[in-house]
Amino acid sequence: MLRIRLGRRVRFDWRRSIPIIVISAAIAVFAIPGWAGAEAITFVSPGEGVEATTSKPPIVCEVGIPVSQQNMLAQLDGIDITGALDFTPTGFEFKPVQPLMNGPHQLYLVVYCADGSVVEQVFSFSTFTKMSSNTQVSAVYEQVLDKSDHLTQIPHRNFAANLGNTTTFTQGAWQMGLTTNLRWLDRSMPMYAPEKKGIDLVNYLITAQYLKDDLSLQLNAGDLQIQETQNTVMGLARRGVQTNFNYKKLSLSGFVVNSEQMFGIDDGTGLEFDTSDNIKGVSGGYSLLSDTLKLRAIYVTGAEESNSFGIYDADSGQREGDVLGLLVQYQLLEGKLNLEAEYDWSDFDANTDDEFSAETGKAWTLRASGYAGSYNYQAVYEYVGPEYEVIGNPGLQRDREGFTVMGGVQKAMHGLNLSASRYEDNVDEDERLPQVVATMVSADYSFNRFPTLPMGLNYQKMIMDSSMIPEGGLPYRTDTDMYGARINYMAGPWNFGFNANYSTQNDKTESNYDTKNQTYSFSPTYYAETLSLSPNLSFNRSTDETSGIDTDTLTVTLDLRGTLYQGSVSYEFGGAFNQMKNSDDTMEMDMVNGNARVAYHFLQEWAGFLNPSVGIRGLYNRTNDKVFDQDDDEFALLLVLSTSMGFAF
Amino acid sequence: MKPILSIIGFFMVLLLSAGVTSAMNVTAVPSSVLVGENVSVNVSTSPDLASCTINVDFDDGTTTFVNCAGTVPYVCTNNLNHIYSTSGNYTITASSDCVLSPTGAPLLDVDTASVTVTFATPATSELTITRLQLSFDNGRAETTVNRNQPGLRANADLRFDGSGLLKGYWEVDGRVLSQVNQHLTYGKSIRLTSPAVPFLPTFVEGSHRVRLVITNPVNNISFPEAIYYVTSEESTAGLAPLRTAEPRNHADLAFVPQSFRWEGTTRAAMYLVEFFEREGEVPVAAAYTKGTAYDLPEAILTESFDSGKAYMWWVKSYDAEGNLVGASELAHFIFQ
Repeated sequence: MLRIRLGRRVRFDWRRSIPIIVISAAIAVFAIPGWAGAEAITFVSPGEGVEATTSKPPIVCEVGIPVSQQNMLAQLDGIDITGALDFTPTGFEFKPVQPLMNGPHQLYLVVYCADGSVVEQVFSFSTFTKMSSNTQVSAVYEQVLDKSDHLTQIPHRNFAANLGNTTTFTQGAWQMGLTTNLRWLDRSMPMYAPEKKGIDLVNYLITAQYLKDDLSLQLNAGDLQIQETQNTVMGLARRGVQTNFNYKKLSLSGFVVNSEQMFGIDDGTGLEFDTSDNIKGVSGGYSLLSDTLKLRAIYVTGAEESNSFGIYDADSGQREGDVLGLLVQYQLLEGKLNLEAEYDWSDFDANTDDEFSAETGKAWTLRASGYAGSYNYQAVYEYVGPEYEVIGNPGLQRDREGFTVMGGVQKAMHGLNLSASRYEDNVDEDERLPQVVATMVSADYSFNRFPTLPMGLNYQKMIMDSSMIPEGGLPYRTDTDMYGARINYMAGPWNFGFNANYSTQNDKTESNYDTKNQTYSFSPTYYAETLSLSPNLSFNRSTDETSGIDTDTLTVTLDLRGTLYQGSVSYEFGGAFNQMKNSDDTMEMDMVNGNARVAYHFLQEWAGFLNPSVGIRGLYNRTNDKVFDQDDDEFALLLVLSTSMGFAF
Repeated sequence: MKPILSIIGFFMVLLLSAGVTSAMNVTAVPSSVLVGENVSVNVSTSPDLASCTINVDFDDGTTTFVNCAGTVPYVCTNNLNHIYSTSGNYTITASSDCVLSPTGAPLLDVDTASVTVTFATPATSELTITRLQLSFDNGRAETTVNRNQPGLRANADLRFDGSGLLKGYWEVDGRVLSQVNQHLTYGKSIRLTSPAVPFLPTFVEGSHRVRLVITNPVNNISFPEAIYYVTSEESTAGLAPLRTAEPRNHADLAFVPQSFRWEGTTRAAMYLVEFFEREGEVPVAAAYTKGTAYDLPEAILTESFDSGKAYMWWVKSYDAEGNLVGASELAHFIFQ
């Protein structure tokens, strides 16, 4: 559903579904001499005040004078649709591209007459679709025709089917929705966790929303992503329940999610909340001064295991804790100055099984940002205490204090972004430990003189230097320099990209472990409707300056896709060649892998909506270890049958 | 007789000395720690001892003792924990006034263990990966896409201690997709994204597993996997790029009606042009059009735009069924 911030004439936000401000139920016509105006424009479909029962109702108007794109303007819910109209001898027609949201809609017309006069007219109608559903069912069966004896990872038979569904149901002010993927997997060898043989509900999201006047209430259950603030919970994707309540300037929300990232429902729906294995939180916000001042408070508590699906964590054991955060945001001068302050307290036990108890910590952030024309800036001061850790936000770096300033300018030909930062650890200045200050400056320049030939340079320097070195300790200092260059040339379906990156790390400690890294890559891609070709050639050399040993890696990849005979034949290939070599001859290895498929798609009428296809897929892998003189290759040839069906209403 | 006694005496001395050297034992684990970390010290004696006290000197000015009273006739063994507050090389010394049981012979033994204490902090440690989390754009380590869907990429959020050269590769179904070589410097956690060319392969239906395998630093890590499933339904999104043409990116435009143009694609039946003040916000203006250009009318210009402000725009394309088949990147301009 498309929403738009309307012009000054009418402004409303479809997301909050605040009832449309109907400019006038009555027709507003500024009659002009020589033309009947209102009487001459007829809203044929759906019709003035009519409630359409489809989400894409054809919009038809008859106009008393000949109209074209040159002498009229048509806006549907603020979107200019003039260029999408089909003009007829009697007027025009429009078929919405995207479904219209349930509720009232506004068609605004302006006709510029030959005598210089202007006629404006507003029609209103509404749409209501009680239920809509989109289901996709697809299945694939693979049968090995031949393969290497030692290729054990490829099953002789493999079957996979997926049912994806998106359904919405509207009743009065309530709207409910379901999005899910139901999957059936089977193969002639065991499955690897977390997948399993048989049927599984891989993911799901159930939503219920109540909208009326200034009130909105939303309840979500299933696979969620929780976004609160930087120092509390940010981007936490877990399974659970979330509710949001909004009334005028007030917003409240709460959530309970399983602390383990889950796949399928083999271990439960994810909605069985064990108190020792969930993360829950509440937050409340209030807006003031025409929404320019926003206040928000967040409280999150819970416990989590360190590792789960998709996550590795070196810290083992059960963690638990809670955090309270306060956030204030103030927008001044229409975006030229945005101020933000956040203060947080945490209580965190990194391992509930050990003898150490929970520690309390605090963190705070001050941020100023804004833009003016082609200039933008941001300044941030952050403090994260040594004991500040948060359940559900393990990526947060503790024991850190410092600032970042950034500024950028974008002009027609030149773009420049500069940033500088200085952070230190050991913020409590524990005398037993050194303090390391990390200072960074970076610059990124882009030259935009030629639209088909964008290019740019970047540089970054990072210095890490220690102070407060304890007696008997050694100083720590590393300098890291990174240089980069990029250029693309675009011509029609072609895009030639070249990137070069060079970096050095100068270890100034006693170990003197200096390293150097350089990467050059070239990717000439060709994308057209029936053929796409995207090769990539990349060379990397990393150097251990202490030993003087270079490690070279050459990588060549190719992705090829295309169709023939009006789409009845498709062919694809994906492959890579990797060559790795150490300059001291302790390692030299070549690896080749390829995966190709050719398929025939039955487009004939008898195939109906089944979209069946039959194809052949081939796999090839080769590893040649030249140092240990081991050369292994393997292949597999498979028959592939697939089908997909779609149902929508 | 005298030689026999000498031999017996010699073996007695050997026996006693062997017993003495093996009677006291002290170990420290780990032998290299950071300031503030715990050292586990084990003090043990053998063979059986009579009641005695073992003195332990940690070499940092602190001492303690282990009372072996009541352990007779068992071997006396004790575990101690010690934390060093300053860096340096320390020798832990265990000594005793014990007597051997049942002979009552004195055990005058001393054993030592060495501990190296360094002051490394997470910033000064060797490069170590402490956390690795994989996700797709939905934030989860699982996603479902249609066949031949372009642009699928995986993200790896890394938290690490220390600084150094990270080396590894992205892998799909056990096959190398691309190499990763990047200098890391201690600070905030970073996000690595699998490459745009080649993006994750989507032409084979079924389940696929993605990993970021890190070869340097060498860690004993069970690298996590993310799973994406490719359905047999063909993606409507095309690979052919949709590019904005005019005005040029970051152009300064007069505050008069302007024409916005782009390169068309054959699959597109309709285009949607959207204008934004800020990325991610609701558009300030939008238009559907069948052609490859949009002439911004004066009425909308004056209603929705302001002179002196910066804006962004992009164009999306739809096929005849209303499926999204392409989208351009955001382009910037300023109305003077």
